[in-house]
Amino acid sequence: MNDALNITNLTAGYLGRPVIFDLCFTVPQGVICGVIGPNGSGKSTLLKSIMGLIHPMQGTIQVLGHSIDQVRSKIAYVPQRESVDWNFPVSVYDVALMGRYAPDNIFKRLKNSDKEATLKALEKVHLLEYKDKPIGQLSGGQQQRVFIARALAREAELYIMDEPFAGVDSVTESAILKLLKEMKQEKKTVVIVHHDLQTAFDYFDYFVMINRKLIFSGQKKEALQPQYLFETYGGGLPALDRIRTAGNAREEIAKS
Amino acid sequence: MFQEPNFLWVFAGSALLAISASRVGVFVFLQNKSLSGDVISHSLLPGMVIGYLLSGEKNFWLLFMGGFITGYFAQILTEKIIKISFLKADVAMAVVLTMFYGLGVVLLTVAEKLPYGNQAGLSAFLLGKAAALTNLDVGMYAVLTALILAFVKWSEKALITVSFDSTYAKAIGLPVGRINTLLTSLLTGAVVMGVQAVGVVLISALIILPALGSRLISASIRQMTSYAMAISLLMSAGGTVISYIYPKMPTGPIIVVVGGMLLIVLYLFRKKTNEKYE
Ligand SMILES: Nc1ncnc2c1ncn2[C@@H]1O[C@H](COP(=O)(O)OP(=O)(O)OP(=O)(O)O)[C@@H](O)[C@H]1O
Ligand SMILES: [Mg+2]
Repeated sequence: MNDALNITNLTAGYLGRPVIFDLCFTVPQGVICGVIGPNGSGKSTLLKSIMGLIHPMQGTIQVLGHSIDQVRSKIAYVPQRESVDWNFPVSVYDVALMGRYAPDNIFKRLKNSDKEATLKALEKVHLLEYKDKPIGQLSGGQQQRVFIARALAREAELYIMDEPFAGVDSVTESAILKLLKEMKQEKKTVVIVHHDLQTAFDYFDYFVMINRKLIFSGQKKEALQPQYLFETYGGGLPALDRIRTAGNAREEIAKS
Repeated sequence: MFQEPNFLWVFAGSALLAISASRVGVFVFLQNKSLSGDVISHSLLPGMVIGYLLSGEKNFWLLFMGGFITGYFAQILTEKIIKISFLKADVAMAVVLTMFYGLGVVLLTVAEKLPYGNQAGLSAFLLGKAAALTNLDVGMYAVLTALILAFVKWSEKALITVSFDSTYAKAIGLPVGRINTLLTSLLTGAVVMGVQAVGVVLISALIILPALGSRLISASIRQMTSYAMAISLLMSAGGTVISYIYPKMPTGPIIVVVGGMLLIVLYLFRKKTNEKYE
């Protein structure tokens, strides 16, 4: 089986200025993969490169074994929530339905199966009763769930999500988490940019850590080593100190 | 006056124009490109005058093509300048718009000096003269309106997706560049079509005011579309009737004044959820 992502020597950025350098890693299919790194480390840039929204300056990206243009119908992309104007006059259903759009049906009538998949996706994120509401009337967490519904409606194989947990309350967070577990059972692959280190190791089973360069990629059990987190965040994080102290304490206990 | 055939042609022509302008205007407004109408309307002047000079008469399609070409070119030029230079959008627009408009006025002055230039009433381009619409013009308007409505209907899902979230549109592989080109073409078509009736300076009001007014009272694009159409029909009806009763009054400014008054009323009855657009 092809890897979900196979990235070699990827250098990418904006206006000729690279932001991420020489990344090489693979993500196998069927994992929930966390992309971890500090602000400005290039996580969104990496996701945009994978989606072909910016062109790599160097290197190659294979998605499900092909170039992105050949497999777009099998990929669902969730951009950061701030990337759109939530006052736009469309309903929750209208946005979720965009998950069904593709170059070959955008200028045609949609099928009933498209409508059914959209309603099913809205039900999964508990927004069915809001389906006719303008998106501007939703809370931040509900808006995030609209974006996730749009991705689910796509019935894709690979989901690429940029900070779906940003600004959602704990109820929504656990609802999304439940969806992730379902997706894993259905053998889907999910690549998620995530900020909260406290929860990252509970949520994901595969990790890509970057800070402009690749620090680590691989299974969770190896990712847990504090040295990778240090390199990624350059120290100075309270959470890291806690992890380190805990580690030291454990060593002390083991010694005594 | 509703018995007079001449008035009826003028009335029908303005109504068709209102329908086209508002249908396209909703999407131009939603893409935050409200000033593009102004860039195009001012920049079509040189093209229209050249079209006139080539034919020596007011041939509808030659004027239309001339205006379409320079108007469209100016809009694309503006977008290119914004993309590749350090200039801000408003500066780029101001530069392109004034240069094309200046050139247009120079050509217009030359054309009016020509023996056949004067009676053509080319200066009506500036402020608009709906009363000059003939039954032939109305026929052309009907064709253009049908085309514009058909294209918008055909591409509506794509236009909405690109306007709401163009990054996502690219991510799912939609031809975003071509969809934007289509919208620019439709806008240029509506503007060039309306310029004889409403004038260079104020045609963009017929594009944007209905969209803005409808946005204040609607929560969906479908609502916006129908309200915008109603508003623009009221505007154009008000403009033609008043300028018919007082023949010295130019149509364009009256249409805008009527639109302005409608906006005030709509503002008072606005939906609270649309606060952002105040
Ligand atoms: N459109 C853009 N044009 C130019 N530079 C950009 C653009 N987007 C991002 N950058 C730059 O690229 C760098 C990485 O940005 P990116 O958005 O990929 O980081 P990130 O890891 O997603 O950060 P965050 O956690 O804040 O979302 C930043 O220094 C930013 O200034
Ligand atoms: Mg980011």
